[in-house]
Amino acid sequence: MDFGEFNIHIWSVVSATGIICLVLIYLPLAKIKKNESKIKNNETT
Amino acid sequence: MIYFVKILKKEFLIYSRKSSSFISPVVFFLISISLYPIGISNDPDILKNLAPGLIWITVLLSTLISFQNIFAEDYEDGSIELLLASGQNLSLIVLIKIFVNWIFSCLPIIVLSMFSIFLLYLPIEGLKPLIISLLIGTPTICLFGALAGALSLGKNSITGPALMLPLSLPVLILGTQAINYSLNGINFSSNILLLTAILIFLLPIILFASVGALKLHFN
Amino acid sequence: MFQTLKNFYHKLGSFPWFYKISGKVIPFAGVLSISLIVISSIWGLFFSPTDAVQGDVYRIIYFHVPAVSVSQVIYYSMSIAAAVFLIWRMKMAGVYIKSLAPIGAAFTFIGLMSGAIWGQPTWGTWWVWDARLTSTLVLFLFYLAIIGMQSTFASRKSADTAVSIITLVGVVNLPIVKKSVDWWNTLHQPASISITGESSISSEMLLPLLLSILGIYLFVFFTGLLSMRAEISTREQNKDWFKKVSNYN
Repeated sequence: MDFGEFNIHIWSVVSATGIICLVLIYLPLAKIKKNESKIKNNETT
Repeated sequence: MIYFVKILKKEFLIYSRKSSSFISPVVFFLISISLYPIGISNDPDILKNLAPGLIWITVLLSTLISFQNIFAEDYEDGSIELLLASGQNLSLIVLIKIFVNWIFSCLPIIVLSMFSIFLLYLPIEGLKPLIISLLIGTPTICLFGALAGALSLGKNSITGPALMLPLSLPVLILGTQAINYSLNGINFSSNILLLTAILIFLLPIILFASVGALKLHFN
Repeated sequence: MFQTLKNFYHKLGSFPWFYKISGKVIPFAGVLSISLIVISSIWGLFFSPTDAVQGDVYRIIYFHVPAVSVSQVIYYSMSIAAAVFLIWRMKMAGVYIKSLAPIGAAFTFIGLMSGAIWGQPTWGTWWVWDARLTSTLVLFLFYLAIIGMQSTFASRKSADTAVSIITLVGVVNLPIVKKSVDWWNTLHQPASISITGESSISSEMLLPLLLSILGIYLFVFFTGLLSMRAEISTREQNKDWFKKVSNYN
């Protein structure tokens, strides 16, 4: 595929897949952060 | 043995005293069957082609009304807890409950589905496969209903139907296909045999699963 | 050999051990899987040859095929975990099912979506009711039912058991669904689209495809560990070991 050419079908699939993958990484990471920091706050206060 | 006969009699009595349990599916079925010609078309040719699918889908949906009846009341008045504590063979009792529920919620609909000859212009050759496929297919659907009802006891959530409908897909396909086959002059017995096979295959599995699901509510 | 396996199984059931090990494995798995996906995507999108029949659109294959294949594998692995949970009451199996179900649903969705977007320019239709597509849709519905079931039980153990039951019933039913749609399909539309018709795929196309499949599997391994960790951190919040670990970090 030429770099200058824009294929809407391919790029919509690529971007949607990318977004879903990022969400799949972000959500559990945020949850772990939240749970671990909750404990830390309890200890310090 | 006498114990199970007693339970059977008791279930019959409960269902026959509570008229809404078998009237509401019937009313739902009749209303929707008479709405299709108004909503889609009153052209006999179009309706004739759609009739097998429409009848089967409507039967499937009308079981959604009644599947919660299987365990909901026993759960509320606590008799399921007693049964669990009694140490009797629970899967047999569940089987009896499903059987009685089938007699009261599905059998009237199967009888009424004969009216589709007039209302949906189903050709008369389609009547025999329609009745046979419904007779063999609906017990499987009732089984799924029992599982869904046991899992979603006491909760008014969408999870029951959401679980039940994808499970019933094979029955729906084989049932409508049997009618379509006979309308096209093809032998439909293989579909009936497959429906029977599915019923026999799933009966112990689903019974076991529903008993397990029932136990979950009483820890 | 058997003894080490047995030891590994027992260790796997322990939350603190899993939490410790997964914390070490996750960075490697993450870097490896994401770089594999990026490499295979760039290779597939820009450097592999254009298909003679379909043109450039066929490059969706590098996202579609891995997603569909991994979505089925996730479901089968979940059903194994469900059996383990029901038989041996291993808590980790419940964690596994709960964490992997959303990932499986996400990849089934990616598979369905990319298939539709691929089908539109190539075969002129977004959707066909053929056996593959219908059974994938049913798989998606099962995932949704499993996710929906999580929230209907008050106690964690009952929810896990209910979900295991559904997963097992689903895995019994899926082949029946597949077969019945197959039979149904033959009456209505003979010789419909076969999406994986290209059996003689050239090696220049096959290599990035294999790479992307490997990348997605590793990615699922990575996000699976990550969300299992998240699930454990939610369930074990009030346990002493968890407090120790999170203060140490």
